[in-house]
Amino acid sequence: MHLHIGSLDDAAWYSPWRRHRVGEKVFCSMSLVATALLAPTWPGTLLVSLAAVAFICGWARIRPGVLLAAISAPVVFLLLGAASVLLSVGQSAVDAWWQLGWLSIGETSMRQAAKLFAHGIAGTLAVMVLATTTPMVDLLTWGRRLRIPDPLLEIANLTYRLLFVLLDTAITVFEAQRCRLGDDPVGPGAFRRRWSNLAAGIGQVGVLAWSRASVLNEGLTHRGFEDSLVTLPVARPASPKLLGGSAAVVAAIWAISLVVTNL
Amino acid sequence: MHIAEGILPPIQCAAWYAASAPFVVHGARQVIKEVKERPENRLLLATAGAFTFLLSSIKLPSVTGSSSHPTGTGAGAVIFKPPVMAFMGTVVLIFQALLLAHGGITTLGANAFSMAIVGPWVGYAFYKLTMKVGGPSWLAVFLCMVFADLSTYCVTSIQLALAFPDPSSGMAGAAAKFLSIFAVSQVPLAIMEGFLGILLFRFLVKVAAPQLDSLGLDLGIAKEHAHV
Repeated sequence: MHLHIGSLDDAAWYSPWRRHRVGEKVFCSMSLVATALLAPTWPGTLLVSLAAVAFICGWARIRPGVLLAAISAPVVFLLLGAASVLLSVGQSAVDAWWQLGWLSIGETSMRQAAKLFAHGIAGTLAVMVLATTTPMVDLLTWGRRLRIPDPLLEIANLTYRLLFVLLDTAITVFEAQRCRLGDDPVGPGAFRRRWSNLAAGIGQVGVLAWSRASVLNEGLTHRGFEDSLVTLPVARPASPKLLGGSAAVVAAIWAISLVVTNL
Repeated sequence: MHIAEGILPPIQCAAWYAASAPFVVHGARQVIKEVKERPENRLLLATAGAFTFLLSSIKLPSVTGSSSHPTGTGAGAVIFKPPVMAFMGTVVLIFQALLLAHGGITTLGANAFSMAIVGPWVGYAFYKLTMKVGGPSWLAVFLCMVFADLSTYCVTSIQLALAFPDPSSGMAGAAAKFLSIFAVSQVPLAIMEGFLGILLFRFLVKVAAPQLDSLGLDLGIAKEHAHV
């Protein structure tokens, strides 16, 4: 299962939720993020995770493989993070039930690690609701409504578009370099040559991108690009169903969490 | 390594947002000023952002046989100066959170503080200091790249220590723990990023001297690199 830069963006472009207003999707995702952060770890984070998966794979009809590929790297980072929190260093903790030299594991560290992992997974899945259903261009266009200055949005928009141009350029440059210089230099000075090749490749990508940007800028200036390239926003109908559904799910998560916590 | 979504306590998320905001706003103003004064640099700035994103996606060969990625902010700080990198770094972090599920939205303030603010400023300070005391330019670039990378990870370790203090040794113990874990992979990686920076600037001087000159970069440094 492999995630490349365009995986989540591709999913967002073809998502059935594309027809919904960006603000409604931001509300849905961010209310889940806030709940993942603020609700009691048990059962709040589990419920947020289940709700996010249901929104993504159920309602928004994103392929489970895309979500699995996207979540695999954060899961590894969170597991490593949880393992480092699990181990206490220094004098053995009062509640330690395992120790080896300066290292120990106790109830407090166990609880900290579990909280980190549970909140991390729930929060990441909640952000995925937005990431898998809303292309970056829609978010940037929506940014104009938040009165973010045009030049900043323009820079962000151009950065986003150039990402894919740069990625193609990088793939071509490194492919050409491999064909010309071989995949893995061997013999004396091989390590140095690998680094030299890598630096030349990165530098070449930078220079090509720089040249392309200059040419593109010149072309756009001739076409009257002086301030910003404002595109017409697509008018999308309001979806009370999405807003109401999100609010109801979040309210239900809070209600269940509070009831279970007070039991 | 960015701090993942959801793992920082809400108060700390807000505090890191508040700490980052002045730098990012200042950077945004610098970007607006730059675009107004030199509209032709608009696409170059966007290229710098995209290039930083790409750099952090390119896996580096590591001495242990594993792979990792550079932060890329040191090179950006030398070329575009730290305030611009504060804004561009934050844009890159938002893209990484939404396009690669790397980092997060509630942890954006903390990640921006470490990668887009402290890293570029510390790296740039080492660059300027080395140049000021008459050190060779290759050393200035090397130290800039190394300390931009290391300071980013030091701040991340402290941020994690504040969020997850060790039950027996407290915040200091947790900071030492996270720093020592990061040190295993990050010290060699930072040194390698430093060497990569020297090679990268040497290459850029050979093929992109006019562009570097247009950005006000001291070409004396660069010419010296060409002879390294």
